[in-house]
Amino acid sequence: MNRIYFIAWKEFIQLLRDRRTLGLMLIAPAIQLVVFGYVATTEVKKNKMVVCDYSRTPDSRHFTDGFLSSGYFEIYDYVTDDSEIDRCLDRGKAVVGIIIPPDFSRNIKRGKETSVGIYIDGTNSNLAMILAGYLRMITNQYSRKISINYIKGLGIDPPDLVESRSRVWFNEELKSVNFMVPGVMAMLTLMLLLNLTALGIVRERERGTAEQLSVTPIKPLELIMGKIVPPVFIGYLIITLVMVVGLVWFNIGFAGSVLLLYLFALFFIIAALSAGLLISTFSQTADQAMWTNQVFVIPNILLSGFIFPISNMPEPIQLATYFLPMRYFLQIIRGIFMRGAGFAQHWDEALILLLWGVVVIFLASMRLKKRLV
Amino acid sequence: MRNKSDSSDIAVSVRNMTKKFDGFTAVDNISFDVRRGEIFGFLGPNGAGKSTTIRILCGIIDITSGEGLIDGHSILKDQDKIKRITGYMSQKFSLYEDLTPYENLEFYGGVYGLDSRTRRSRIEWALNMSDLAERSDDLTSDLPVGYKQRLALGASLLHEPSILFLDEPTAGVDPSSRRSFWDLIYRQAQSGVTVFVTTHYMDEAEHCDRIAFIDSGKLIRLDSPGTLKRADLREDIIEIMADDWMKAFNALREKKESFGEVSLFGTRIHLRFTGDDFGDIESYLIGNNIHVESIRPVPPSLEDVFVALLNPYKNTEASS
Repeated sequence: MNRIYFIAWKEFIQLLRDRRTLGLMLIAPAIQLVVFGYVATTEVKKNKMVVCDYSRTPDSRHFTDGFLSSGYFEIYDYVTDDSEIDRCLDRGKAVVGIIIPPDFSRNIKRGKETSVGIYIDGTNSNLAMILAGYLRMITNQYSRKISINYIKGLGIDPPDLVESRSRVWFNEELKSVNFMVPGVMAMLTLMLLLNLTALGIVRERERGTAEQLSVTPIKPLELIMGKIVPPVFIGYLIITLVMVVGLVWFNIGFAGSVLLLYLFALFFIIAALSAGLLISTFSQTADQAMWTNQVFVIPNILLSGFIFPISNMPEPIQLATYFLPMRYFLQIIRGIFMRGAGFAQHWDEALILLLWGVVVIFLASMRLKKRLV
Repeated sequence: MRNKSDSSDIAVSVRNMTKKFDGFTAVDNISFDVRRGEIFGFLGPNGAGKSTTIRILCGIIDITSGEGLIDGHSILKDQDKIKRITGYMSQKFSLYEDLTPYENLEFYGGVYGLDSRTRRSRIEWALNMSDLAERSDDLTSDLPVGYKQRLALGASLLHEPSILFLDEPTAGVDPSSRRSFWDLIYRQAQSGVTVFVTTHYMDEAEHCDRIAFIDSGKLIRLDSPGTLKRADLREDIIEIMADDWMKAFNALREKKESFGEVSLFGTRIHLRFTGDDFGDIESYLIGNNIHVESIRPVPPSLEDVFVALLNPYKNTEASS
């Protein structure tokens, strides 16, 4: 116990003495947070649209207005020939082109079916799908309105139609920043802590100090525990930083208990630190450790549900995500942030994180028992 | 010395120690004993297996086969006990450069489990010994090499070990610092600490009570410096100084069948003379248009012994 104290004491001094690294460690998350908060948004607004209106009637004007008033689209240009639409999409000036045929208004008045041509730039397939959905929705609304007007025109009361009124829970404005900030919190904590400890053992090896350590009565587990303690504080610092920026700057909601978040965060912090230490025991140089980190970090970011929903992944990959600590922590903090989830909803994920950390610490100390130098 | 009667007088005992790295044998079946309280020198060229032996004894790396006992404790089973009674100073400076001398000592005192009173007094002792009392709050990285060396020695002695392992402690240190460092080693030996030191400096080897010559992982000779010089050199050593010493050296090498083996000691030539009259040497050199400044018999140094020991061994290696 005493030895763990002295190792942690020494690590604290080294950590605080390297001011530049410490500064970078705090500036980097701030920058990434702002980038993710502002840029990595999944909302689609003001997409450029080219309209080729051969009908030129109040009806066709009314139809296109429906797109503009939705806020999802804005007019890039009105063109007189549909070949212009090709050109605009080719050059990336617009992502949607609409062709309204000359008989558009005539057909509506006669109660006949009419069709409009819609072209979508599919380069960004995600965006194209979302836009296709909006376009369909706005077109349907317009169709509904004209059918009702038509029926009314015949002097009949229009029938009650089925209308879906969905209400979004937990993130009512569908602001992606609400969803992003907890994800960024998990990602930054993982990345920074991993880098911090992955160098922990390697640095002692590279500088030759491991040699002196290995003749002392320090046990591998004591060394690991001593090296984990100081970065836990850094982990809490990052989490607090992200939370303050999220709440104060981005005005995101926080529904749950801060205390619970801090408790469960400890398990994730320990999991991240132990992963770094295990990587450290396998690496002879700092370069090796940093690259091995990438092998661990990238699946955690891409497959944890941070960006892509796990339910959309192929089954074998879905199974693999059960080994990623970030998956569990993301579920925990999104639950606490957005749904106000309590201990009862997330204790199982927290337990898995705890077990994950314990197993990895054990593996790392087995590795060190074989050889520290 | 290898009788069983007085095993308590043996501080370190090595039996058939072998260490292999990926098929390369660094230490080849060596056995020896180190007596309690002596300064035991491990002498040999670079890569001979000196550091490997020390690192095995300190438990830094594993032994491939054989056994080692430190104060009767097996290096295979009793590492925990061994670590408390041994101190180790590695070849490369291995304290923390980003801590101060005081912090380094506090850390090592702490991990060796010294209580805070003992720790205070031992740190004070180590700072005084290493002449760092005034610079105890400087960063260690800013200290001159000689100070770092003494600080490392102080750190390895904090827990008052009875056996001290020093792996080329004076490598890269200027001569005056080397001298003062050896004074510190002597003082330790006088207070009863067994010192096991590796070196490739011959003058340092002369300071040792006994020397083990090691080459290519094999133990070649083990004895006191005096005995080695008397017993291992039958020939007289003739020292020759000439203005064109390189030419003289080459000329003498061609006549080694009649005069004996030659080796260079700086610009001086040492000849292990096998002839009858060393006047012959002078006339031979003059005949070769070499101006001889002096030619005289000298007492053998350890280096002469070392050269003599290594040569026949190398030859048999090559022929076998």
